[in-house]
Formats: sequence, C-alpha cells, structure tokens
Amino acid sequence: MTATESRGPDAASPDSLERRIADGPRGGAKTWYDVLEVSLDVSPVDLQKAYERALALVEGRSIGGYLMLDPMAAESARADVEAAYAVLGDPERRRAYLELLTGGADAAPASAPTSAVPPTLAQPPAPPTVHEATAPVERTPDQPAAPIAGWSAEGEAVAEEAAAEARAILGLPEGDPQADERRSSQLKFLAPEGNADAPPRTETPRPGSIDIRFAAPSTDSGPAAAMPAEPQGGRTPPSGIGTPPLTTPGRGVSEVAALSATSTVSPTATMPAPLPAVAPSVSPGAPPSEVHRSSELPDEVTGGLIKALREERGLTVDDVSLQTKVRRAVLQAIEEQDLPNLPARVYLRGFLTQVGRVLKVDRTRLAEGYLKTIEKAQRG
Amino acid sequence: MAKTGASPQIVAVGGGKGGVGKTLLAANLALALADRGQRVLLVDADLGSANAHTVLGLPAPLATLSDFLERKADLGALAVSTPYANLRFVSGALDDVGAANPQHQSKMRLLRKLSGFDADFLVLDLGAGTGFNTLDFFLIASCGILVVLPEPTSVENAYRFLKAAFFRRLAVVEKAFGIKDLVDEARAQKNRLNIKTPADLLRAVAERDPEVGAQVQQQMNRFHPRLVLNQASDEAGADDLQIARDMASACRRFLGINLEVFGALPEDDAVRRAVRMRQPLRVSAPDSMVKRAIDEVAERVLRLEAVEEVAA
Repeated sequence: MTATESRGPDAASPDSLERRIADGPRGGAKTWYDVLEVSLDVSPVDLQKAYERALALVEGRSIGGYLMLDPMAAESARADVEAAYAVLGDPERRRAYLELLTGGADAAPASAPTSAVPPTLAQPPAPPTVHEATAPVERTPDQPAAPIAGWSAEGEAVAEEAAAEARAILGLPEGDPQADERRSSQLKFLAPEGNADAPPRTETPRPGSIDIRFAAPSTDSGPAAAMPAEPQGGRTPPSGIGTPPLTTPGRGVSEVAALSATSTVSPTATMPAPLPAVAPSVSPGAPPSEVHRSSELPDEVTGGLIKALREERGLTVDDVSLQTKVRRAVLQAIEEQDLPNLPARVYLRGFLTQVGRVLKVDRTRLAEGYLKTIEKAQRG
Repeated sequence: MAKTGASPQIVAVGGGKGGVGKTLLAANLALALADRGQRVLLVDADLGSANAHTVLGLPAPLATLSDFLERKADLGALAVSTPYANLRFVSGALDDVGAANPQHQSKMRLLRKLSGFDADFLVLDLGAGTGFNTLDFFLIASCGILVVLPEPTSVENAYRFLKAAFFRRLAVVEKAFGIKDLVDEARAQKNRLNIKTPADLLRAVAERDPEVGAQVQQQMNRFHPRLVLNQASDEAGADDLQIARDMASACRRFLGINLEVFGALPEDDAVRRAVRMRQPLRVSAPDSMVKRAIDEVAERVLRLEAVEEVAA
C-alpha cells in the first residue's frame, strides 16, 4: 500500500479510508479518476501532481479553494481525494478499479449505461457501517428539519402561489399535486429499521460531471486572450447528465439509426473492414441503442473495423475521446494498429471496453478480438 | 426550457461581494450585446444602491423600479431609451429603503414581468449580498454570471453566494414538485446519511426515491452558474486565471455545482478612467483590453443563446 503510506499523520484512519473507497466518491465526481481530474491512463508522476493539487484545493491552500468548503464538506472532500489516491496510486488496486469501471459494466443490464461510467460498481452492497458512527436521528413529523450546517437557505417561507410562480420561472409544467402527495406518502423515509432495507444505491446522474477542460493560458497575450478553451459540452443545459452518451448534441438517435441503416446498402464499398457482419444487425427501425450480439463481431477485430464502426455511428475520434476519456492519440493508435504507440495491454483492454461501450457493441468481444489481432500482428 | 419567441434571454450579473465590478460588467455587457444588434434592456436590480446609470453616463432617472413595486408605473414605461442604439434601461430604486426589500408578491410580479419583457436580452445588474431577492434574480436568468476578484475575500463571498443560490434553487424545485418533505427528511438525517455537500443531499434523496431524485437532479443540473474573473493579472507569475479554474474544479469535484469559467477581464486603468468620466468603455476606452474582454463575454452569451435555441 504505497499510496497510503505517503499520507500525512493527520490522514483519516485506514478504516474510514476503506469505507470511503467502498462507498465511492461523495462530492460531485463520479469516479476516482474524476476526483483527481486525471485521465484513465494518467502516469504515476502526473497522478502525484494531481493529488497534490487536489489536496491544496481542499485544504484551502490555493486561493481558488479558499473557504470554499465548510469544515464538514472539507473533511468529506479530503476523504475523496485520499481515497482516490489510495486506489489510483496503488498499481494493483488501480488495475482492479479500471477493470470494474470498464469490464465490470458488461454484466449490467442494457438499460444501465446511461452515464459515462457506472458509479454502481464502486458501491458493492454498501455496508451500513457508514452510518453507524452517528446514532440514527429520531424525528417526529412536526419537528422542523435541521438545516445542514453552513448550507442552509433557511428563512423565507415560500407561499403556495409562489410555488406556482416558481414552476413558471423554472419552466415546469403544472404538476399533479395529488400525485405528488401520493408519492410522498409512499416514501418510507422514516422506516424504523433505518437504512437496512433502503433500496440499493441507484445510478443517479450527478451534477458537475461535465467535462470542462481548459486550454493553458497563452503567455504572450493578456488574460483576456487566455480565456479557457471553448467548453462545448458545458453549453447545453441538460449537458450529458441523463443524456445517453452516444447521442451527442446535434446528432440525434434517429440520425444514428439512419446512418446505420444506410450503411447496410453497400457496406463493402466504403468500409475496408468486414463490416457486413455487423451492419445488417441494425435493421431499419430497430432501436439504435440495441447492443450488438456477440456473434456480430468477428473473432478478430481490427483497428479498421473499430474505425468503421465509429464512422458508422457518425462519431469523430474527438467524440469518442470525450465520451471515453481516453486520449485522442491512444484512440488513433488503436484504430491504426500503431503497435509501438499502443498502451500496455492491461490499459488497452480497459480502453477497448470503453470504446465498445460508446460504439454500443459487445465490449468484451471487441476487446478480446482486438487484443487477438494485436497479438497476431506482434508475432508476425 | 422551451422559451417562447417573445421572452428574452436573461443574463444576471452577481457575485456576493460589493465592488467586484458587477455593474461595470453588466452595463458594458449590455452595451456590447446592443452593439451586436440585440434589443437589450439593462435592469439595475441593485435595489437600494443602484448606480448603473452612472456607469452608462445617464442622468439619475426620475422613475425607478420603486415605482413599479409600488404599482405606480408599468415596467414598459420605466424602460427609458439611452443614447445607444438598441439599449434601454430601467433604474433600480435609489433611495427608497422599503424598495430594497420588496414584499414577496411584488418581487414575484417583477420577476414575472421581466420574464415576459419584449426584448432579446435582459441584463440584470444585481446587488451585493446573498439575500433572497438577489438570489431570485440570479436564478431566473438563463445565464447567471458571478463576478469574482482574485482575492480571498471575493472568493469566499462567491462561494457563499453559490451555495446560497444552489439551495435557493433547490427550495424552489422542492416547492414546484411538492417534495419538500422528502428533502427535509434527508436534511434531518444528515448525520446518519452522511450528508456533507449539496451533491450528498441530492444523492440521499435519489436513494430514497430514484424517480423524484432524477427529477430534482435534472432541475439542479440546470443550475449552471458562470464565472467571470475581474482584475485578472498575469504579472509576476501570478496566474490569476488558475484561481478561476480552481474554483470551477472544486465546485465540480467536491460540491457537485457545475460552475463554468466564462471569461477574465484584465486589470486595466481604462476602467477607473471610464468610471470617472462616467462613460461606458465603448466611449471612453474603445480599444482597451478590458473592453475587448467584455466583448468576448458578449460573444459567448450570444453563442449560448444559439445553443439553447437549437436545444429548444
């Protein structure tokens, strides 16, 4: 456990660290990679730097993090950072985690992959230990809810008509208040047995997962010119969250379907790879999200086939890079079967499953098939 | 949010702390948008200490938002034309103590009128602080801009503002969906449920009721504040823009608030000169760096609108 050894003496106890790791990130980030804002193939050196930057942020040592977090939130954020580093800084754990992120998702039902990375896998049957530290709070219905320390927006009571106004301002349709009432009465929030029979953590889109990358400020022009690079994704209001990753803005589902359908007309004419094996599976009108059955991918998957699949879905390398968080150069190396520039096999497998997820094909088969092709090429 | 053709895009400029350049940005941004052919209404929503008219070089207005709040005048009648094409202006209340804290009903009436005002853009210049009035103006905007200086005091207040705005929006969402009890339950059990950040709270709600949780999450995802760093300097290795990036990163990673860096205005003596001359930058310093930076913000706002139109 090299990662934990480097933590300071005031670091959280190993117990709570492991608990946090089992629990998954609790801030806005979805994965441990997101907590440190590093790519899946980050080098140990860059990981270390990212860890130190994150610590400076949560400890308020950089101005940008100054007093951002009240003590409780700061403690929570710090635990996220430590847990992320404990997982990613340990080669063994990192490999297992990457496997979970990529390979483990195959077992999930087809309806699940709506988020870039399923957070569920970071939470095995959540041990109730998380909540044992503090005694359950008994609460009678008329007792006012205590606001969260430092986070309260207490005060002004919002009148019912104001709620209607609020609805109008939010652009919400008029709801069925009775349905709302019914629903809240169905909620067993105060079940005496506490959390024990709580539904398993559901995969919930979380805020703040939009990937905003900044261009390094240029040195020769003023700060005005050093504005961050166009964060395209940040523009669209529902931005990614709750949006299936495949349907990028401006490229609707139907369009993807149309692309798939048209490609069945003369697939061989333009595609160098054995596409016919894949294309006919998308019958016109079939839901485009349908995962390709394993039989549709050949045993050996070439880079050309991956490229063809990508183009068939109307995705650019940048699109795939954005959705998989795999660097563009790596994706290109995969498509071009550029052996010297391919990442180590263990990472390659993870990247391939991510690519498979975005391309909506059988991920395992894609990864295995491609690795087989590469092995052959290396031998030959 | 499907906007009808008649309703304007609302840009709110706030930031918690006083003196960070909210009025400077709001007034000059409004002018920059007007220069780009948009019909703009600049609203000095700093009820109580309005002074956008001074930045624009206009005389102190006779009729202000106080008159609207007291039902003495209609909003349309208050919108005075300015020497600048496409730009109209409504002043905030200047002296009326009561107007700084209007009754809830009056405020809602104002918000409603603003949302339906016949213009392409409304630019709201908000007051300092995190009062509900300020927050509500910030929240009705499709583009809420937070102005921050590269100083701890300003950063601190900006976070306070963000958190307050987040929970204010959550309160509005709770109300609109009739799920206040659900969220209150989660709040009440914050220790047991280990709730320490806004993201935690939303997760706790989603764990109890995935359907409601998804709705709330979707609404809260639309809370998408933008950050403009003012008086940014790149001298002596002070990478001020890094402060803005850190803020956005911390919000995203640890709070679950989707803050986007929207621009940086360089430190520029032109600003002081402009304010003293009581002229907008377009007149007093048309070639200044800060004017160009504000133009860039205007371009971003316009692109934003384009995207939203496509989405709708």
